[in-house]
Amino acid sequence: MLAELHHCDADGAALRWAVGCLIAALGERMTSMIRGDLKISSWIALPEMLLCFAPLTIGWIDAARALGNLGGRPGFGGSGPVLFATAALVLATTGPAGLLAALRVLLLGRPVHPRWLPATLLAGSIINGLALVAIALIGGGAFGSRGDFNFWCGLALLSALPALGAAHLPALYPPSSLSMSSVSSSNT
Amino acid sequence: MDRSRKASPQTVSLLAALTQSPRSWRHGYELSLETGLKSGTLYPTLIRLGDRGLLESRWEPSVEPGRPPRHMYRLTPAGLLFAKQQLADTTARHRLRAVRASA
Repeated sequence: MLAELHHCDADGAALRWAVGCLIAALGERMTSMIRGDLKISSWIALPEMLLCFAPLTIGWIDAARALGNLGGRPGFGGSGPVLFATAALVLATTGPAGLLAALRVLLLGRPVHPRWLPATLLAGSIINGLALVAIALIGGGAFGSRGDFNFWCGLALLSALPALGAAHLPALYPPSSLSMSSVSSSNT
Repeated sequence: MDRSRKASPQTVSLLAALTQSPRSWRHGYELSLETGLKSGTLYPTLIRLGDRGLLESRWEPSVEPGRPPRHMYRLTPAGLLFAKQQLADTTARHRLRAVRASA
């Protein structure tokens, strides 16, 4: 590449050539450095998936209990608390759905099913985050106002972590050679 | 089994330039002037073709003292076959588009 500089017609052309060569060289260097993938041992993936989806699953269970305590049926036509609990139940479904999908992959060695589930979980997590931001903007409530520690905790546990878990879910299958499913099948 | 992939327009234009005189060694700057590809696009394409065994290269010592040697490129026999296939596919696609546009 360098040798061609001496054959360029003008200084401007030589400068453009040199910049292009620099970009090409950096790109090749970066490509050669990328060796990893998102696959990790199932023994590590399981706590990761629990961390990502368990808090939201607990929130879902809470919402279900709250709905039961209010004596209302899930629906968007009831009183304020019933409406809120129903909305929370719907939004928090990402938690148990993600957790079940992750356990299916890690413990049973089955692929993610259906294939659009990770994208749906990711979308649900983002919607959760937007809902939290909306609640904080409207007037605080259970998750605190903007800038509050509770708000950021809520955002992390109920939106960011499930989103990360959903994004990593497709990479968990097929499981690594030291997966739980392969160990359990070899013991039988 | 190799998966045949449609080459990018930049790769096709490079292949077209290299097939003009398939047994001649070509310099990078010369190819850049002929195809209009900038060095940032040309060299990654040349590297990819070389990695796939479609291109061979060699160093040419400079005739002027003190100047670095230049890298030269030409298609391998497999590369020539690949180039002809890609150029034929490209021509067929253009004809099909022209027919559809006129219909």
